[in-house]
Amino acid sequence: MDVATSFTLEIVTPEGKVVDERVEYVSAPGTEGDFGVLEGHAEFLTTLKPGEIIYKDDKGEHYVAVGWGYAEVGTNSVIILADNAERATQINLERAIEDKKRWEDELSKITHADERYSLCELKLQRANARINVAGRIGKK
Amino acid sequence: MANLKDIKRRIGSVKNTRKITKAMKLVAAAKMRKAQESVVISRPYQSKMLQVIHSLAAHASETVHPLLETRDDKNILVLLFSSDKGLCGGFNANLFKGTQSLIHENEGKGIFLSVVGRKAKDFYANKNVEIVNSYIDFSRDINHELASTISKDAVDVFVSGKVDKVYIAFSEFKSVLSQEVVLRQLMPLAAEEDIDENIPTVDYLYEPSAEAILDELLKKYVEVEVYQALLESWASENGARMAAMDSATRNAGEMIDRLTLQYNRARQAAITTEIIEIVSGANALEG
Repeated sequence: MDVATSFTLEIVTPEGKVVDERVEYVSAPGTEGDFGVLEGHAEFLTTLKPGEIIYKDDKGEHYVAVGWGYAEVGTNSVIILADNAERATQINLERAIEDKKRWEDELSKITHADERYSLCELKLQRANARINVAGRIGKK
Repeated sequence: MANLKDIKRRIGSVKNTRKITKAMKLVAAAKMRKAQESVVISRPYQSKMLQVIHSLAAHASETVHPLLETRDDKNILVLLFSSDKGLCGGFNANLFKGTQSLIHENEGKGIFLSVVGRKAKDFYANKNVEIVNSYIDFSRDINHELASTISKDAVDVFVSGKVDKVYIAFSEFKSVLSQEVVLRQLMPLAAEEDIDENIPTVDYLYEPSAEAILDELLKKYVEVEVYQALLESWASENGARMAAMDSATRNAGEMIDRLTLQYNRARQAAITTEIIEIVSGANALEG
């Protein structure tokens, strides 16, 4: 890999480091919209919403599903701290689909005023992200 | 001299006890190792987060966040991490000793408690403190969800103004033989105090805004602290239990040795008496 155009990507969760390597490109789901990072990006800090992180190294593209977290982008490093992060290969698709159904059911039962609404919504988003990410490797 | 049958029965029962304590020791050792690993792998997450909070707090200083606001401490909350089960040596006793001294220091103020584990709840049930929240039967699933519930409850109590300071009390895992009770202020967060001057604070672009991110991060940070405390406490509990069960196993072994000696003596005494009886009987017949 060309060292000049690569930077380090770290994805850290309370259960350990999921990713720690040099990459060429990474895209992540910011709360204000998805963003992509190449080497030499302006320094910025953003919170993330549940979704998928795509990064590219010399072996190709990789996909990681993340929950709530935030990203710290430096000139030659990206650090993502997330509640949970799973590589596409680690995801149990059946369980994700089950989860999705379960949280959809929960959501249909309660209203916006319920204090659990945002929590359920978050769980649903997380399940969706998992399904998307798992689907990525299915296609190959 | 106790009779032979009694001693034999006692040896049997002590042997059973030794089997049990030995098994408990092994189980505690396995649990402790797992907990220790979790502590180690969750550390980078915590330190990275602290770093960002520091640089954020430096930039968002003009607006005071409720979690950073210092008030006159009229009422305090202690978040106490004990165990659900006993048989773990001085683990809980040491913890309560530390907590009691904290309570004495704050005499005259309103003391509220939030307890994790059945032992703390029992201990403080009849004392002159109010238990706000209790989390019992936690040891089966120490995970983020539990930490997030505990921290959310604590943040709510603090932000509502019911208490002005929140302390956290747990046993830190030093080694199998030593656990140290840690009493630390959790809220308001003393983020500014220990900023390392050498780390340059980077001027970031913020999305959505520095204040919004700080708000989310601070809540998260409390959660991470609670999670760490849970893991440390769980590792300590099992370390303490392992040490306690190890010495119990050893004591049982010594007791078995002592009883076996006593048994052999009693048996020998019985034989000797019998021989004397036979010999003296024979002598009587000859004479």
